[in-house]
Amino acid sequence: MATVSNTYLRFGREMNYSTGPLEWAHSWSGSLPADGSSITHDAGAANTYLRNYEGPRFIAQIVAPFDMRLVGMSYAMDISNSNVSQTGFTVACMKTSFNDMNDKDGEATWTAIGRVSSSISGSADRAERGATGLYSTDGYGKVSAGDAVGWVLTSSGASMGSTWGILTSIFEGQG
Amino acid sequence: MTHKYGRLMCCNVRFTHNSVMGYMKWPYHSDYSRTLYHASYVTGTDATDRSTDGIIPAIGGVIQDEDAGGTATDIILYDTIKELGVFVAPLDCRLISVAYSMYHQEPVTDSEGVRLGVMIGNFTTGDNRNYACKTSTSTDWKCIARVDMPENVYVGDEDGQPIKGGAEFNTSTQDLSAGQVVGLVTESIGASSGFIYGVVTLVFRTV
Repeated sequence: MATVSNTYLRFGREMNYSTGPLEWAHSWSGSLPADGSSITHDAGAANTYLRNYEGPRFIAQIVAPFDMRLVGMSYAMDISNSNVSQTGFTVACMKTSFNDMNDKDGEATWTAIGRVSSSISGSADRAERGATGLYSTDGYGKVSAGDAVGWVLTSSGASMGSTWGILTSIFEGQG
Repeated sequence: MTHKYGRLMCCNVRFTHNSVMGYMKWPYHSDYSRTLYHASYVTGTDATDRSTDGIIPAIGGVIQDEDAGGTATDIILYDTIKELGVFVAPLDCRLISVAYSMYHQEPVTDSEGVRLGVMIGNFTTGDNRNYACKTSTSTDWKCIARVDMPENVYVGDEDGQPIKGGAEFNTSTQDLSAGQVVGLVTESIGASSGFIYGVVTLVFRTV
């Protein structure tokens, strides 16, 4: 579950979050980068810290057990109280890399490796579902063994209100 | 997914572990507000370091109710389903990989992190849900994989740190029959761990 704005990337909270570990109550202020591009720590604005520890603690949903490539994403969403100016949403799959003994507060880098989007507009409460196949030709969909991978959600145009949903990412093994 | 090892299935487990020595922990029941927090446990008196078995048995070993000492340390059959289980084998398969990405928030002096155990929770349809889990009733928990966080990561009292790694397996000990349930248990190594947040990915291949 998440309350999603068009000015934030939303992602999960820590696993022992008291009101529910599945609520996406953390955010990074800014826009989703293009596939293959990254977001990083930005100390100049509130709510935009991106530290090494936030990878395994917040965003990670899967650890790559070997080299893999993202080949598909799908979603089913329940959306309510979206703004009339909302024009869709995007779920991006992102990877975060670090090495053992990295400073926990060191500046992290999260890289977009693929996405699935909706272009349904408006304020009607609704259910949505969709899927897309992915196969990058420039390699941005690849993740290396040990990379932690998760999702971020952002809306377009305006807030998409309260959102409940389930996401699936499909990978193929490399090598 | 399809891979050189055949058809693969992945199960991802997000969790929080926080424990002193001598506790094997797993998640509390599914409608607990902190359902990913490893809050259920059994205790034992064995030291838990890299040369001495703690409570999580060695690979191939089992733990049953009578192995759990002290109070509030029962292993009851309903715990297997209500708390431990994260993956039910949809067909015969073999666990071949355990990968982890974790954040060790505040390691205490002499902590070496956490030991991960993948356990099969044995039972048969129709068993009494209140059975104490025992080998004699085929309701024990069998360890099919065990992974320790690397020793050389920790030197004394470290600051918080992210940790990643994994291990591969490929023996009949890791085989599951369709319908068997597995789960993840955790145990502090060396000393009390403090909070550890992480995700573990289990990979199974068809056999």
